[in-house]
Amino acid sequence: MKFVQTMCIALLIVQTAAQFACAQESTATSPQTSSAPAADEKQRSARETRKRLEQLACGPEGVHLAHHTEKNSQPLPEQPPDKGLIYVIRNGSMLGAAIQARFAMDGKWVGVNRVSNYFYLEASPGPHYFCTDANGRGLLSLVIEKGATYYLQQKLTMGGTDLDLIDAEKGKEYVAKYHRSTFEEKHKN
Amino acid sequence: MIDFADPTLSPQAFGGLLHTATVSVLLAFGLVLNVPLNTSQGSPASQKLLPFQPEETSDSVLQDSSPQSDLHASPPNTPKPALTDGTPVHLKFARAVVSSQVIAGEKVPLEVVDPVLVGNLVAISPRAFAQATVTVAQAKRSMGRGGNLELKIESVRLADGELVPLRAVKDVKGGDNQPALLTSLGTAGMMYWAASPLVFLFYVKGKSATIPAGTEITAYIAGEFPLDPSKFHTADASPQEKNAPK
Repeated sequence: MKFVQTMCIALLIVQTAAQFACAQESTATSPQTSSAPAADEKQRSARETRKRLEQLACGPEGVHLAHHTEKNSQPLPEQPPDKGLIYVIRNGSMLGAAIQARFAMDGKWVGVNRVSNYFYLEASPGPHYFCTDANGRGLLSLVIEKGATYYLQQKLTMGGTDLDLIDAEKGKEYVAKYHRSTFEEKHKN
Repeated sequence: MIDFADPTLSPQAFGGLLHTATVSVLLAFGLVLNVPLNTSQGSPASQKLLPFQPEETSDSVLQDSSPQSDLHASPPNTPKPALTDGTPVHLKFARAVVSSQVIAGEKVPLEVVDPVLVGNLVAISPRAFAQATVTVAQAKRSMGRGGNLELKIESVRLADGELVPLRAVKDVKGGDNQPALLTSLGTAGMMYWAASPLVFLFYVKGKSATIPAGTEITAYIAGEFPLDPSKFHTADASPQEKNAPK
């Protein structure tokens, strides 16, 4: 009788311990088998993404910038080591020459170009959102890295306005050839 | 329920039952935790659960002879296993990535295709989570010009849950940013290449750049990462050992 009692107790203990061990193992292995969490997220449509990017990138309506072109050659800025340097260039195409091309970063209008103009600005490392506005809006998002230089081109075409990331070689060529823009916010009375 | 007033339950019998029960408890935990027990030393109450020490199991009266017991045992002077720099990791995109539907800074999920073995340890399990960040996103442009999409490959999760960094090229010696890899994917005429040690660049002509779900790429472990064998499972002998770093 004692033997049976002992065996029952032992079996009970072994069963409990085995369940405990199984539970420990399943907890430990769960990170390996879990699939990517973002994979289940609903993807935005292109339209929703464009709307979201416009909100992040473009400045408010009703802001106007008075533009001036520096005809004299201007010294170029030194690359800041802890920030990214961004040149915004508008090429020499005469298409839409009468239209100013505004440029906004992270929801604020920060500059404007006319034909064959450029200006530059600095940006902290991390994601930034850019918008150009002329006869339509061009959008672009970039992760800026510190110590890097970026060349963005405002391009007015028959089909609208684009904002392109162009390679450094071409960008330097344009900057050397074009004139720098200066601007100030224009207040309408 | 034990009746202590029961005259049939003698003190000797009760003591024996208690002793047997205690031994059973220790025996059960010893089996489950793979801890060797030495029953020859004093009373069960004075025994301690010893940490797992493979070299000392010869002193034990109870030895676990199951194959699990020596899975993680390594001979004394064996170097600690490590995931080496440049180990290839085959990944696939868990979902489609379309340049018109993502914004720079967003994370993109990937999955490990083949397990990565270090010796006999499964360092990275199949379907393990990996991640990339969108660094450039541009929808299709006017006049039929295509979009742009650049991804920075970030990290992969090891089998023990740790995240380790990845890069886009096997070897970063020389530090030049010339494309090290150019791969044409049959689907949608898409091409991708490693634009820098960290960044994959995708190009699709004429429309928004799209990486279909399931697209496979190869990234590489960036750095040396020693592995604690007790936190990893071992693999059965399989042809997947070809992924082990040399």
